[in-house]
Amino acid sequence: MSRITVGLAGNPNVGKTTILNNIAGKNLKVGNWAGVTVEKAEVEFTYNNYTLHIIDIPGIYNLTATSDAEKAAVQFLVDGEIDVIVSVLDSSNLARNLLLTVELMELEKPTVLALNMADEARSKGLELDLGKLKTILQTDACFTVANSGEGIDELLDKIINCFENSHDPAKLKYSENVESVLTTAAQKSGQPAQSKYDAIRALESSEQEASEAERTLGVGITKAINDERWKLASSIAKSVTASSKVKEKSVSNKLDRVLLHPFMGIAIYIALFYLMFKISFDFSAPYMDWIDGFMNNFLATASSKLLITLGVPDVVTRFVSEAVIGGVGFVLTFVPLVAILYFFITFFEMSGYLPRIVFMMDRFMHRLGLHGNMMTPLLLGFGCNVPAIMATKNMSSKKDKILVTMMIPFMSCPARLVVFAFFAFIFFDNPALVIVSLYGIGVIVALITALLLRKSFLKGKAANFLLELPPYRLPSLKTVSRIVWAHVKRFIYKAGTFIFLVSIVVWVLLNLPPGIKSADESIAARIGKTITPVFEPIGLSDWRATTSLIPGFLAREVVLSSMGIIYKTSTEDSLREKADENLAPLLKEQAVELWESIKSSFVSVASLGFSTFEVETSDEGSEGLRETIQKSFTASSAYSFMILLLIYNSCVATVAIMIREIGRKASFLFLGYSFVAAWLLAFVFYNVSNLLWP
Amino acid sequence: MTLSELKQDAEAELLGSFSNNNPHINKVEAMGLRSGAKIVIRKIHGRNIVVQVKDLGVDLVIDKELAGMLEVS
Repeated sequence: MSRITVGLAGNPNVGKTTILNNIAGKNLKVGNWAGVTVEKAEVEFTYNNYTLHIIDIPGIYNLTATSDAEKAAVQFLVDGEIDVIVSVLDSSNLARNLLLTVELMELEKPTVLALNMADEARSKGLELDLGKLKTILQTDACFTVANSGEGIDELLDKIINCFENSHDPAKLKYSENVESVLTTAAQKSGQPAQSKYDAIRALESSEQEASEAERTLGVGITKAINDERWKLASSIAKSVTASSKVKEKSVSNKLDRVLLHPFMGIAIYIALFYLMFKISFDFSAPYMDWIDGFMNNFLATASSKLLITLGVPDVVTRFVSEAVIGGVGFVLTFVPLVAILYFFITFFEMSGYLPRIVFMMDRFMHRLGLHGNMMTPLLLGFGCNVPAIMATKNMSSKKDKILVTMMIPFMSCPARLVVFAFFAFIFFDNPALVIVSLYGIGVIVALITALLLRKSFLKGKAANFLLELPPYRLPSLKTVSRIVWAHVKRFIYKAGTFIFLVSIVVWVLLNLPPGIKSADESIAARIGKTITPVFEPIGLSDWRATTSLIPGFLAREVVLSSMGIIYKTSTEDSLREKADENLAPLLKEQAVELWESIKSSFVSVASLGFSTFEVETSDEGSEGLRETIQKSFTASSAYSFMILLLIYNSCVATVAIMIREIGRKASFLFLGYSFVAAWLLAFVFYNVSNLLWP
Repeated sequence: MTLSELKQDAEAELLGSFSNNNPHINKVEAMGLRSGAKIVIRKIHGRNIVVQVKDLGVDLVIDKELAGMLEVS
């Protein structure tokens, strides 16, 4: 079986990621803002007895890179082992897209064209002559509509056909003058170039040859070649376009008049993001409560009953109900919230609204020595810090990259939101406002960090700002849902493996050395008690709280599962009582509560206003951790605890990716800085709030 | 005059760039802002300009520093 490596190349926002998603059913994150495909996404699968290895290459406009992501893309296209390049084009904007295709064809590698968004071209009144295009470029091509899957099978067939026939694209011919200059330079060097691309690069890099070429052509060689490419792309586009009556982007223009307005635009942006969080909470809170109740009241009891009946030792029974159900199961209760938040984030990405935010925010960001491009990774940070830091590859300067990388961990991700939601619902009448305030603190600390860095280690002005505003598109619910599902699966997977393992370690630490009567005597307690004096000035004098911070360094969600184990281990010992419970009424009760939750979720979303944020914290029937936490913290110490979790650096995965992107020294300096900043902020808040509200 | 000097809603034709072999200008050109392109200034917001390339129907955001390197009629 032959293996074919395929590179999907094209301008940003032409649908490469959606094509890959459609081909493989792999739900990648797709969006409409420039540079979303920063990571190299790839997939391998079997098709018609061939193993296709398809790689999604970051969006580029030409083969001259101005950022790390573009450099990676160009390097891969030029030097990578690619059997077939698929040049993905936006059919509705052929001239500009063909410019990159022309450059790709200079590489003289087997190439297939995918004229994507064919439906949009048709709706704009464009009729493209595919046969003519194939003849001119002497390469295979087909129309595709990535969203619906139209033409995808044909594209795969053409890839295989291209590979089998080693179909090299036509050797492009520029004007006689330019060709003559290239030939002369190649003859003088004595080394025949592998491709036209190599010949051009060799000429550009030789000062003497470039000067001679400039004398012959009257302009610099780079400009002359660029002009040739553009002329060729324009003439091809013109000759294959039967009708060029392009309809205006009236809807996008009308929307932009409002959404790009200096005041209205920012007001709408703030309102939309606030609404996103409001709806997320109001809709998900009843389900969160239900799952919590189901786990603690039914599943833990059922498992205990079953295991005791089977004669399983108490220690194993406790392990299952505390470490497994009480730990991992607890994190699962927040799946509805994560899903709804990701739904909104993905929808904004795919609709084309996020690049507008980048533009709108640039004015403000620029005053801080930043620029709007940084908003993209910063916003991604609200989803997850790890891909956000990876998205800094798109920064054009190293200073900008370090700067934004050191801001991202202060953007609160859903993992932290899980902890915030838990504490906010317990201690505050208006949990949504508390959570919004924490998000605000994170953003302010990030901006202060940026200002400090700009004044000290990372002096310099922001890089140039260049961005395309793609047309607004109504994202397909199917695609958005698939992406959301992928995130939810990843969340569950993380809970099911990493958090599970951490929970096991913590549970074991809490139950060692052998023979201890309570968690108070455990190794974890000793560690927690040792570090407690450090946290006492910020209101955390309970060793159980400080102990839960240890696994919290590994992943934020683990703080809760660890607390579940730590607090329950030291306060609960009612296995036998649970074993005597009758499961049938418990199950019926859960069914009734589920129905109530469904009704409640829709009612609270339908009602507008801030009052709807005040979700009831008294979860009937739900006991255990919430009640115990309520007794162990005050509102001040709970907020102080949340500040600590917000500001000190994120999970171990974030640290790992940070080291990879900006180096060990900078990362460890940042770790120290974030801990000190977190402690100081928590200290100020805790003591001031105690003075004001003793 | 340069693109950065144009007012909102002004229409112009790009004549070329003052910069030779600047990668950012190369990218600007690859995005569609190149000599001969008919443009409209859709919005000016702080240091940035939203330029619509009429022939291509694309909207680009470019900062005034880069716009200052582009000559317009």
